[in-house]
Amino acid sequence: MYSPTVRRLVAELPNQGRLPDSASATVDNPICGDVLELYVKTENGVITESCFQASGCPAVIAAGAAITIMVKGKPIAVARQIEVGHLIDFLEQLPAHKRHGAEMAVRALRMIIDN
Amino acid sequence: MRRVYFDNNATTPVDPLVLEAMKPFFLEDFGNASSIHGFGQRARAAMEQARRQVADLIGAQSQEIVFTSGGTESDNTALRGLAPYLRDRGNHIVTSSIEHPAILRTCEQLEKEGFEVTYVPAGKDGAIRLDVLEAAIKDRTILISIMYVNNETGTIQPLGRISELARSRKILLHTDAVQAVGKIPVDVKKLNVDLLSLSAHKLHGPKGIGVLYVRRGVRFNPLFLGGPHERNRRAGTENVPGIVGLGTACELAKQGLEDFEKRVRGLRDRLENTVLEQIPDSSVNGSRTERAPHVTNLSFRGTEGEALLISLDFQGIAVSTGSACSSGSLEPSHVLRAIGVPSDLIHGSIRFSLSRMNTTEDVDYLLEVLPKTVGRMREMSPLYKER
Repeated sequence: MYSPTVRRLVAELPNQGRLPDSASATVDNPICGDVLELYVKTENGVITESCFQASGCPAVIAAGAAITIMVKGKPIAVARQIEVGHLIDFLEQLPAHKRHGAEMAVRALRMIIDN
Repeated sequence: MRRVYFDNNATTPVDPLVLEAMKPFFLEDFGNASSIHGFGQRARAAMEQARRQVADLIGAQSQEIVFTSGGTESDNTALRGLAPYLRDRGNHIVTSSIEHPAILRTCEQLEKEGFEVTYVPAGKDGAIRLDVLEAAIKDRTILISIMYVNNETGTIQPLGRISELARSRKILLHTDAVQAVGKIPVDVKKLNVDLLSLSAHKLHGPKGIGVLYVRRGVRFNPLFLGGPHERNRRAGTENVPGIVGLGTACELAKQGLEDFEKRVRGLRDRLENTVLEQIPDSSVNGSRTERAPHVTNLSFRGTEGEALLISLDFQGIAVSTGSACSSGSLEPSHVLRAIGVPSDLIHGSIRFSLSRMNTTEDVDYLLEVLPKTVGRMREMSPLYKER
């Protein structure tokens, strides 16, 4: 049901935590109650650090962890181009009914960047 | 890494003695049990021996044992075989809202075919509401089907009282005893049931083999046609290695029943009590008294069951969850919902189901790993605040 990457991210929770003095966004999914908080720190237009907090299913946890890994070291403009499909590719697939996890992570990132 | 298996309500490992008993029936005595030659006759003799072993475990007579492919087929046969057979007597069936899907989906199909089904609710303790069951019975009621031990909570259903009700109204009684046989004493005569389903792989036997106990004199339409096997009650060449495995598993279960009750209950209780003591905001779902000795269903507020399951799996521990996320849809456990567990606690529910193969060291390892894992999940949650 879940790819090895999703399972590993859920078990290891890389970049889990809060990041003081950073930009952050919180998104939720009212249908299943999942909540994701994303934190991003930038220097000279480049994302230097990112962390996440999550409450919910493996998809949202793995997506939160994955996006922190994907954005680190990327210029903001490049990070803005990350789509749901890219995140799902990174996760090596999500079950169809779990796609919302990736959507929440991308939405959180865009809320930070666009604000 | 240590590997610990606490998902024995899903399936159990085959006992090495069961495997040894099965082996000759793949390679040497592989005959068709319907054949007249020696290969067939040796297979038949082993099959009949297994039938006696199964009957012996549940207090039945050999001829009342019908071999099937497992619990699901047994449940389907009981309902779909019996309901049309009794159609001229009535069209109403009583079951409960906490049954296994093998019963619930079959009842839904029977409803499409013109039967009326009443789904009796359960209380917070996980036991079905006897008053509602009694009130549900009608003159047209032909069958009551209530499980013996619930697969998710381990709650033992009040079958004794239900059979009294069924007897007094001359209604046939079926029980899905898949999670009971081999775990608690099961005697079909004392329980006074007409039909009972059991499955080998839940008691250290092989997968793909089960039994429908059918009390002498009870008739039904067989699901499968195509031969006189099982006294015309289930056509198809018998799975002799599986049947032999099931027979051996039943014999071992009977020998170990007392030990199971004492030792496995002790392990389960230590696990449960320590968790409740060490992990704040944890709670038991269902009754703690009227319960099979090998199951505990616990909720950890502020966690999500499937994430917890994956995290435990990475540390070598296998459990299961009633969380919506494990079901392939957004619908959480129908059992926990039916017994009134709040949805956030259903999402954070984990079932630990033990077997006679679990050890004190297994429980120690879980107790070392689980508090830290729950703690980590809660630390990650933007919502969790300890109460």
